[in-house]
Amino acid sequence: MSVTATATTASIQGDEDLEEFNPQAKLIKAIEGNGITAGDVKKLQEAGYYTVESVAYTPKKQLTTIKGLSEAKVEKILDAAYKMVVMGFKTATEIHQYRANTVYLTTGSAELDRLLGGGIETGSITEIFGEFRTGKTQICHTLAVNCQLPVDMGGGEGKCLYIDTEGTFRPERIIAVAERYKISSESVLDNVACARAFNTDHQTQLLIQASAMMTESRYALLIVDSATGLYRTDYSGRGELSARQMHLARFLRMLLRIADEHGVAVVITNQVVAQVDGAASMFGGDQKKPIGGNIIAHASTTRLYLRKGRGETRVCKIYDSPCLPESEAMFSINSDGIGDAKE
Amino acid sequence: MPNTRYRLAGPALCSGYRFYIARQPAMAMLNESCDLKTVDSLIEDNFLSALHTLKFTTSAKDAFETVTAERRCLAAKYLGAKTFDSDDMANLLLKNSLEAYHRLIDDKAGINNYWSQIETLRGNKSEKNVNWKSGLEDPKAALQFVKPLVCREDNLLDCKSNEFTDRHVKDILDIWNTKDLVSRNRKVPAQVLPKSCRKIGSFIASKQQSFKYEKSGSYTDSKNQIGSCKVEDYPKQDTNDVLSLPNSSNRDNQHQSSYFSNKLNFSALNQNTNLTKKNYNAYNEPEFQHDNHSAYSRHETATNSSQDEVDETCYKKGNPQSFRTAKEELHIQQLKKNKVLPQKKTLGGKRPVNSQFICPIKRKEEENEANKSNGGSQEMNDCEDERLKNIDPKMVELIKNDIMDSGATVSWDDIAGLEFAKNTIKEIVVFPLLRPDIFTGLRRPPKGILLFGPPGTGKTLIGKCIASQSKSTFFSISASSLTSKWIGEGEKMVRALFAVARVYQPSVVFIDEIDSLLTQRSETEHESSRRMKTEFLVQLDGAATAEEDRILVIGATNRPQELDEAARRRLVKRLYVPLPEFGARSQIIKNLLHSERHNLTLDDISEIARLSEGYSGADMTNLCKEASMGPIRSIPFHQLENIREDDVRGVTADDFKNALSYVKSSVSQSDLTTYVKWDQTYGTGTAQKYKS
Repeated sequence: MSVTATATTASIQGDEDLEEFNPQAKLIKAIEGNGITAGDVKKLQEAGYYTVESVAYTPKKQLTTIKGLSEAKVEKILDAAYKMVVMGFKTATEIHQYRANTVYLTTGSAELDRLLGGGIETGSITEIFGEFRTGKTQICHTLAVNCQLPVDMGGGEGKCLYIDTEGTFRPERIIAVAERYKISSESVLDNVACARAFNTDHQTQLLIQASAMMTESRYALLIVDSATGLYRTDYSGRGELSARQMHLARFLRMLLRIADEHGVAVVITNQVVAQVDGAASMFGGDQKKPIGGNIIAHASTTRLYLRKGRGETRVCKIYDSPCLPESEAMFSINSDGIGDAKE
Repeated sequence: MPNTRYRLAGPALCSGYRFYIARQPAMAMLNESCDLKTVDSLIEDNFLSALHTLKFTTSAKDAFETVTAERRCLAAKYLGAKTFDSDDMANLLLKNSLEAYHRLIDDKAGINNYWSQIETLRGNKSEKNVNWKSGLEDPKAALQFVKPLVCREDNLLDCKSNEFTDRHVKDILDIWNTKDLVSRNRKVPAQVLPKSCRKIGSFIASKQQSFKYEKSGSYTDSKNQIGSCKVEDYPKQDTNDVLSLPNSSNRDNQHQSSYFSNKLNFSALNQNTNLTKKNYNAYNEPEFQHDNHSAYSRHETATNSSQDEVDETCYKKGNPQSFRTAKEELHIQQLKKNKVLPQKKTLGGKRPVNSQFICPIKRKEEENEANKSNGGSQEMNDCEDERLKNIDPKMVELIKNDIMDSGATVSWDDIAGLEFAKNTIKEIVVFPLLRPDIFTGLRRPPKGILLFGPPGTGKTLIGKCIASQSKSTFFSISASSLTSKWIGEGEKMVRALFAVARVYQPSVVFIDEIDSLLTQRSETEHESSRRMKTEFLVQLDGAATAEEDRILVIGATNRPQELDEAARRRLVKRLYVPLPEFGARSQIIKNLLHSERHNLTLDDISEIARLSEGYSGADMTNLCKEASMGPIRSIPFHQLENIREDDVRGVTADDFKNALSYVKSSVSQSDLTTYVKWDQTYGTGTAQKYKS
């Protein structure tokens, strides 16, 4: 049984029929039986647990808070879930094999892909932050199309889920990018599910829906365009700082769970804050810092810092990554999405 | 039969009561909503006397009436206790009497007699059937499908003290209305019935779906029974005559389950009262009772149609509309921008937000399939890309159009005479295909063949024959397919031709009238035609050509002396296609007259063949055509309209003799000498022996 956290090419190229969607994660229905009734399953679904993995990855404490599930029942459910999900140790060889099959979503720019070691990694969280007009949203729009491409073209052969908190989602851009690949914009648009989040709770609520939707059809990418934007205003001041950070941490944890369960690539954007104090400002250095503090810094697997270059060009810098060296790449924002910078 | 009604209502009511014991407001609702015809009339009279009447008439009645009476007593007892004593007392009483009633219900010899029908239907499939129960015994199993009411969580006493008024009903109705469902009055109109049926059906459907997962619990067991009974009965429903009793048993079960379903829905919505009413009224629908079949069919259709409803309720959590597809988003944004409704052009329907992923790019296999249908096989396509990389796809397309997929099949026997040429070509074209392992090295077949000879001797026919007999790709090339008005295009076409031929090898390139392409190079000719010639020569045998390419170029001409010497070298085998000999000529006549009515003897044919010395194959065909006109010409014109086909006389030797005077040979003897001379110099030297 290979419950891999990453979208492996094996699962894509296998006997999978596109009409017959086979979710990577096991549906929660599978744990029914052995004293776990359909009612219990329904309760779990109502609480946002649609897969066995999601139950197995959740601490017991959290499951007991679900209305109508007693502690004994939760224990039973967890037992059943642990039986179905491999959560033990694996050899590095195995993990290496999984990792070798990991799909990377192309960003559209060869230079940027090279910097990222192939593109946006699936099954992990990639954070993109930078000032305004540095191309965060443009990268998101390009990725929303790229993730639908076949694997050999650098895509993920899956749909895209777009959570828009700033109201910057523009389907026209999707069409423009689709035209670059000469593919029908109709079907590309149909493959992008977007939702506008209006407050931080809603944003979290959308993720529950998202995980439900991911059990129904194949998704390759989850975008949260500005994961922190709403937090900036929903929580203000130092008094609410810890509440904000806890809420944010829960949100990011859910994202990580979705990435693990469904093997989708998770791309979040982050805003920046100016550093007015400290040494940096005095010497005219780069004064921008991503918001969200350590919580978001620890949660995201790869952090990319975008900076404006000359004209249409933008510079992407690896800010934090478990395996990529700290270096920079230049790309440009074209009418048809992200591309290589023209010399 | 009137009993059906009670039997139907029995278990449902029973279980209903049982559920309601614990719930006071619900109880109140029940009182409100219970059928006034049965219970209220009992209360209005002295309920005790009614009780007695019912109780003591039970003897000497059949099981159904006993149960009915029992149930009525039960209801009366309960109502009475509730009206005149405390609720607790009523509950206690109800509990006891329900147990008694339950025993009655489950009694296999009594009311449960439909069990035997089910058993006969089921045959001896499972031993578990013996354990069939109404499922009323274990309230826990049933209650786990029921959520506690909100008020109960807070305080039981509060609920108890609540007065149930019409205003409450109205409130609940209002809530109900906002839920986007049909509004219901206390007097349920007939059109509500389908809805309720659908609820029932939906529950059954969901049950059928879910019972495969359920393995434990007495309630589940009983449900399993119901489900399996249903499954068995479904295919047989058309034959209602056999199954009238099982059908009603099914309905019974359905009612029971409908009650559960109501409970389910209600507990979810916290408004169980409405459905109770509705359900209860559903029993009293006269149509429902009398029209068994229509009600049943409704159940059936509802079972199918309401599947979605169940799914919806399962997945609709929170706000179902929060995610939409980008297309919808685009539409909304355009609306905002323009303030006018943009022309909505949709074909093939809108995909919902969570439809399956459809790859916008055609999958590779599909593309290959599409290519396959265009005539190329897959493995050829694989190598196509690298070898045809530098060639204009348009040209490749043009060249591909010249690939002949054998139209009319021409066999070697269709070619009369020409034995030497036929054998040589077989040797070069056919045998290497059969045994490629032998024809290697020195035995490798030549890359070019030149067929020359007087016109009309079958050079083109040989080409056609090769096309249909060799299992290779056959390109029929003429000057028109290679030349172009653009300078340089012609050369590229030649190049493309050979590239495509290489991809589709083994292939045969047949160039009819090759002298048009490869004439002697001279000072006066145009440079473009010269470049094309040189390109041709290079492609035929140049630095770039590989030894193992299996491309055969066959040129056919009747002016071999005009060929360029370099081309002559490359067309290694130069075969003279002579005029047909005596034997060949008679063969031709026989072949051509094969389909005609004639009265020629073999002697006649050989006589004609002797007389047609020097005629080419085409001349012979002409001669036969001319001769075959003879019988028609002999018919007077006025008879031509009416004459039957059979009455036309056959072709005679005289016709041929006449025709011989009209049709003359098209090849002169002097022409032949040039061929023979050329053949002596460059050819295989076979022409000599044909020369008479």
